[in-house]
Amino acid sequence: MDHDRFVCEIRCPVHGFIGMTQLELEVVNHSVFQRLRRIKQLAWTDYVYPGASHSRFEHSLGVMHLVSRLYEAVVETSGNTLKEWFGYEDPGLKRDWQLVRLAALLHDVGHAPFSHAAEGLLPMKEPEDYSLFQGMASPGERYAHEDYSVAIIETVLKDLIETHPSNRRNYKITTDEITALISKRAPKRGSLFWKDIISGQLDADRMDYLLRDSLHAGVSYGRFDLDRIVSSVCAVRRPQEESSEPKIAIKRGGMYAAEALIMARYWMHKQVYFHKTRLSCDHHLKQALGHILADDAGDLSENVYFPRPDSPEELDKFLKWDDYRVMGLLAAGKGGEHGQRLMTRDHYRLVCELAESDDTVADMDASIKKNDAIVQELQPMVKYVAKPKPLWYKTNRASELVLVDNDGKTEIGILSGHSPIVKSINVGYLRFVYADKSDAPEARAKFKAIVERQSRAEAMPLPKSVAEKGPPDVV
Amino acid sequence: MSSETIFQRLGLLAELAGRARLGRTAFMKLLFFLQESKGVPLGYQFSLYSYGPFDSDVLADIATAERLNVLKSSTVYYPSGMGYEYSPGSDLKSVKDLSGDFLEEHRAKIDWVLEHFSRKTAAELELLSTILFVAKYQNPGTVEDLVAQVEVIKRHFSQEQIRRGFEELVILRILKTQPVH
Repeated sequence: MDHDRFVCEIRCPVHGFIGMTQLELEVVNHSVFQRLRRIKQLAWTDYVYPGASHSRFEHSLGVMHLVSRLYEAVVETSGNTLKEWFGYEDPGLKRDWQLVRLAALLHDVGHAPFSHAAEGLLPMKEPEDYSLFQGMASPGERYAHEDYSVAIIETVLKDLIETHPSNRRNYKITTDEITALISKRAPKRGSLFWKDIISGQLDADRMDYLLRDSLHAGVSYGRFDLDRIVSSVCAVRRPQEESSEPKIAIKRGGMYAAEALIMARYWMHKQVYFHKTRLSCDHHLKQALGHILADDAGDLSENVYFPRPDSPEELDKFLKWDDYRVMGLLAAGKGGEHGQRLMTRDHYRLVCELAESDDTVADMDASIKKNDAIVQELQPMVKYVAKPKPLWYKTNRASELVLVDNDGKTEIGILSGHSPIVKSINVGYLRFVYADKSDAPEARAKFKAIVERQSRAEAMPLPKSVAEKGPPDVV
Repeated sequence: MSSETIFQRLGLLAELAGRARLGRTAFMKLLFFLQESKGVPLGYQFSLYSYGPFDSDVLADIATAERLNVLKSSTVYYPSGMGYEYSPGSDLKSVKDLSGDFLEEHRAKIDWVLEHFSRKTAAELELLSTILFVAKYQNPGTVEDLVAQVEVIKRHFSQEQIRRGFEELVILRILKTQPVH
């Protein structure tokens, strides 16, 4: 590919030197990209792992670097499939290398302060006035950071990218093509195939954040054999009965590295992303930010959100929000009770972590009801119950990867079908129950008593007559 | 995601598998049609890929259903590779019971999607779901614009095939021929 077009290199703690083309360098130097230096990748996770204070800036550079390694590997292994199916010739492959790198570089440019922790405060989308659709409109949907990324690329960065001499002369890449690779929609021209290595089943985004977050947090859980994955990735056309389009797949030899990637995700979620203190801080941040936004808007109602991405003026206002501004406002006491809690690390304390059994449907149902009862019984001490999206949904994406033989063509199944380790990851519907620091010891003691009572009841079932007739009336 | 939603989704998979032999692509697209054209609230977030609308949560739900014995998979071999087909598992009834009134509430829509889409090939479903996705989320102003946008994504379908797919969705009253202003 066009590595000879690199005009500079940046040293990255994960990948070593990351090369950049002139166009990429100018995008990186733009103020909207520099803003990512001021948005922490893992919000308040440094309250648990002090080293985890890295930013979206370095992650974005890492994703660009990694996506081009994957791209080059797929082209090398499956170039003929790509040429036959998509009609690629070598100049087209060089062009799309630059396209995919730009999409990867910019995929997170629309993050709100503190990354995902603040996403609950992005506004709702307006209902569309459809031209050709007459089915049921979707229920109200909240904007996501990807919508902001798209808006920034399509407005603020459009001229820089589309009129850049290198792009005009060599590639003619449009911002529409870039945004199609990082949003839910399709481009007006070009291929969607490469979306899979940016945000699909085996993507550079997740691979980079696992390695990077692991490094900065100082834990080893997120490590996996990246080189083996890169050397095993390929494109495969599946039988018509399953899909008519090529998909990203992994060769048999890379199966264990792919397994390790899934386990890395599992462990990182268990140990870092779902850490009890991090989840609690995310809750306080959301409440504090709500307070700050309301104060900023002079509207103390509870429904104040970040500015919308659908007008240049509002987008400009959004871009003025970053972690520094929020931290300044928190330091000035503008975050209300929750802001004060964050500043003094007086977060809610974990009382218990409740898992739900998924051995059978009946077990799952019974454990959900049991956990509902526990939370109910712990009231009124419960201040917050975190219910993160089940781990299974977080890890499953790569476990459904298509596996092919080492010839890169013959399909042999999907990863989860060949991996007992992946199959054994439980669904993991978790609940984290929190109380105020002062109530936590009492709540924990009560939880312990509930569990002991339940254990005794399960060990000694009620006598048959009582179980059938119910307990005797109390006089 | 609430436990109620989980049981509703699993119950729906059980219902679909109990009435048709479906592969993974078919599940993905039938659920897409149910949510996006009939408004059945399933909570999926579909994005468009070259193989049509896709949400990895659907595959996670299928895997969960299989693990809980709600679905059983069997491998199907084709000349150029392999695929999976699903049939009801032993715990199908209990999960349908736990999905509450959800299946009854959406019975007519489920019947509709099975009647019109369950016998189509994966390639046909990919095309039809892509047409619907483009019409709904990219909101082209005219039919010509729609056909052109779909052609970019599904390079190996002719304009004529895309137009026929569009007309099929018009007959099903999911799409309309003329914008109303």
